[in-house]
Amino acid sequence: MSTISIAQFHKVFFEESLEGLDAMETALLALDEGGNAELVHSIFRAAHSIKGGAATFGFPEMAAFTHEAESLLDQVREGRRAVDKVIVELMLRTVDCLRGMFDRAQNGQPLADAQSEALKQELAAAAGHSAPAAASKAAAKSTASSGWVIQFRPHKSMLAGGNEPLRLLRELAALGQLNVEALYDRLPVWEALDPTECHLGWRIELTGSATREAIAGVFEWVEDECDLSVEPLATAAAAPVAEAVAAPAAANAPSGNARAAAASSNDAGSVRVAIDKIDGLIDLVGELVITQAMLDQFREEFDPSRLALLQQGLAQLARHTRSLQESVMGIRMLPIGSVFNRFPRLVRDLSQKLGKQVKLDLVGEHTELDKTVLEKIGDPLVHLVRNAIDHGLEIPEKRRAAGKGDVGTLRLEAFHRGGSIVVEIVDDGAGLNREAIIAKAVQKGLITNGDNITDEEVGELIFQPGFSTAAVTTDLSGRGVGMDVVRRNVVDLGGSVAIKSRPGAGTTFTITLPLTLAIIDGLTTSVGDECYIVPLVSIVESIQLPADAVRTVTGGGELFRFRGEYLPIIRLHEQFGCANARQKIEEGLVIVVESDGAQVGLFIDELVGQQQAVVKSLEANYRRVDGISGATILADGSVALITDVAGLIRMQSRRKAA
Amino acid sequence: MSDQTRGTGPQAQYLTVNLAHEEYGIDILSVREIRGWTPVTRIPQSPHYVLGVLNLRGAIVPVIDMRLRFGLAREEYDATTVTVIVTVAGRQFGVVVDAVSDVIDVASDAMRPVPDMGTTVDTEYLKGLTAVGERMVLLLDADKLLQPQDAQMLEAALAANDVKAVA
Repeated sequence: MSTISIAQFHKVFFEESLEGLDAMETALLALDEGGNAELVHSIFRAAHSIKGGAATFGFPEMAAFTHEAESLLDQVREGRRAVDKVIVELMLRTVDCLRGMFDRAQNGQPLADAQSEALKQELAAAAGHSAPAAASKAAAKSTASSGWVIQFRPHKSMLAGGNEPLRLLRELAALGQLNVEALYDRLPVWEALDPTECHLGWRIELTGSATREAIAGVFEWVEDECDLSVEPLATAAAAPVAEAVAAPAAANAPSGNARAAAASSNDAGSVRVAIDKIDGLIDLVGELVITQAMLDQFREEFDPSRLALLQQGLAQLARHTRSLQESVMGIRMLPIGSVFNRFPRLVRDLSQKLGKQVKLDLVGEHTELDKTVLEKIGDPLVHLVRNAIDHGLEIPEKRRAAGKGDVGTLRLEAFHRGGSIVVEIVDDGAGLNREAIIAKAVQKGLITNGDNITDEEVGELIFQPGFSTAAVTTDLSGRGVGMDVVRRNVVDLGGSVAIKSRPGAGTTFTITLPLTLAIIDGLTTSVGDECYIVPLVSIVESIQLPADAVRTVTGGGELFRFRGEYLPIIRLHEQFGCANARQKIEEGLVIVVESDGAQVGLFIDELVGQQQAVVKSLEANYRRVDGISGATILADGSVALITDVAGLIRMQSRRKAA
Repeated sequence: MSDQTRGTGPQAQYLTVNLAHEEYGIDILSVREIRGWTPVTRIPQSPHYVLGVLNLRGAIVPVIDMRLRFGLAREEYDATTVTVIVTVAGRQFGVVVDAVSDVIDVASDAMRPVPDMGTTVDTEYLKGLTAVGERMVLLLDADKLLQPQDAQMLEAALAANDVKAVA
């Protein structure tokens, strides 16, 4: 069946259309803030390709629906209708509705529902009101209100009767301005196509002063060989819908299976890769093959005199392998803009609902992130943005009282820092409500009293699971709803969340994410008989401390002075229980590491070397281990564990508190 | 080299391994491979019977010492010491035993319930026992070796710790 073969393109169609919808939404929001003609064109184009695709791939309900939106957009595009809030609102709802349709299409459910039908009527009505204006352009002003929509579906046998549809269309054209759309939803598969039969239908918009009788006259000879409906233009919009829905329901019965098939293959996911990335890969593989051939020669005729060549070949191999690895990783990298794009809409809707004025700044949309990271960072970001608007930014009156402008600013910024991607969510709202948070924490038994708590620790409190209850939302004017979930999600990605807040001046959330989950640069260290890898990104400096540089504080902690600050020392051999490790500070090394803005010194025996580590999960076959983020395989085939610096720091502070 | 035990029910094959002079059977369908003992990388904060992890063709696989798991004295590893890699519920792990000995066919009706005492091993890890000639073979329930409740209990304890130790 052709429907099966078409079904394999469904996924591409869905993906493209969803991208199109995103583009439409972005353009609509820009339009809302005063846009130009180009924006309208891009919205129109997006709607048009969705309509075309929907008709081609057997989603007539979607095509009919989009058609209404397109008609309305067409009027805007041709300047017959001004862009106003009403249209933008209507189109935004259309975008949402289409998203819903795509959802249902992917799950093989019926596309149209009450909501989409209602919205379709609304769109038709909106387009219909100005339809007269459309006519006025085409024909004389006096006849502006007249026009017809003709739905013409010849029976298969019509051609055999000697009737030529083209002739009929020409005759109609004589009656006024024609806008003809072919209906090809009844086209059979190629093998089943009988060229002597007529499979096409037409939807004709006739604007002009023609009477119903005149139109009937044109179709006089084919009346009993076709399905014909003639409706006045203004009210016609709804009419083709019913037919379009009914007709394909019969014609496209098998497409249900096809949709189910498409839905089942949805999970795999796909990445669009720029062609130059692929070309780069092919080049590299070519180089690798050449190097391999070169090395192969040595196998056949080994001669010590050519050792230099062998070394050269191996160096080349190492270089190519590394570039190949980087290129392959590059394929998974996508700009964070695809996640940022959903925020203008979210911010607009939320701020309207809450009566706040919010200006959203997006910076660094082109920063690239691993696809897996990108997919999982969306929800935490939405959560943070929602919180910032809900709890952080104030209503205009309050802002004025605080001496700030009416419009609050929310900035999302992504940038590279070292080997990580940093995403900042900055608002200029009220900041954290310190007193309320402390009160809540005391009540929850998380802390005993709030006297000696620094602002940082207050920020830390809202990440506690206890703060995610509904009661907090109402008791507390600060934020903290589900922040533990946000943190957990980010930590699962190998990242970290830090919070900075100044009362009255706003709050900054800083999310640090690894560029990729698969490979890290690490420093191999030995501790006793064992070997641990410390991620290079978290290392600030390695130093050797003299014995007298370490101060012991009451309570058991060890501190040392580093760049004017006292940092705690974590003895890795104690933390991990390693045997035969060096005990004296002056005999080993201290690596200053940083995570979440906190620094500590890791006491180890020796540095062994630097290497790239392919991160393997411990959890796949075992379970999570505190202080260990994963494992990797060393050159000799043995396993080395990778330290989780953020986790170690957390363990340290936990121990300090206990 | 397989010994047939008497019985008529559906057959299952077991790999038998030696452990402290007793013979244990592991369902052969869960056995991935048998390899000589190679040193493993220790994992911090693990139960004492988890020796560490090894690299099994790129996968990180935990290895447990069956003697320690069953509360027996640890033996020096020697030439016959082997690691049996088993897959249970999609997870792979290695089990260190004194030696592998045989593959036996066990008919379902030749499997006897475990009496409550008389073995060095906690009966909870056993599915049953069977006789092969004069030998008695204890059939292991591989699912329970790397016990999920161990991990769960630990995690629960840690989580509780987390909440208490704030600030």
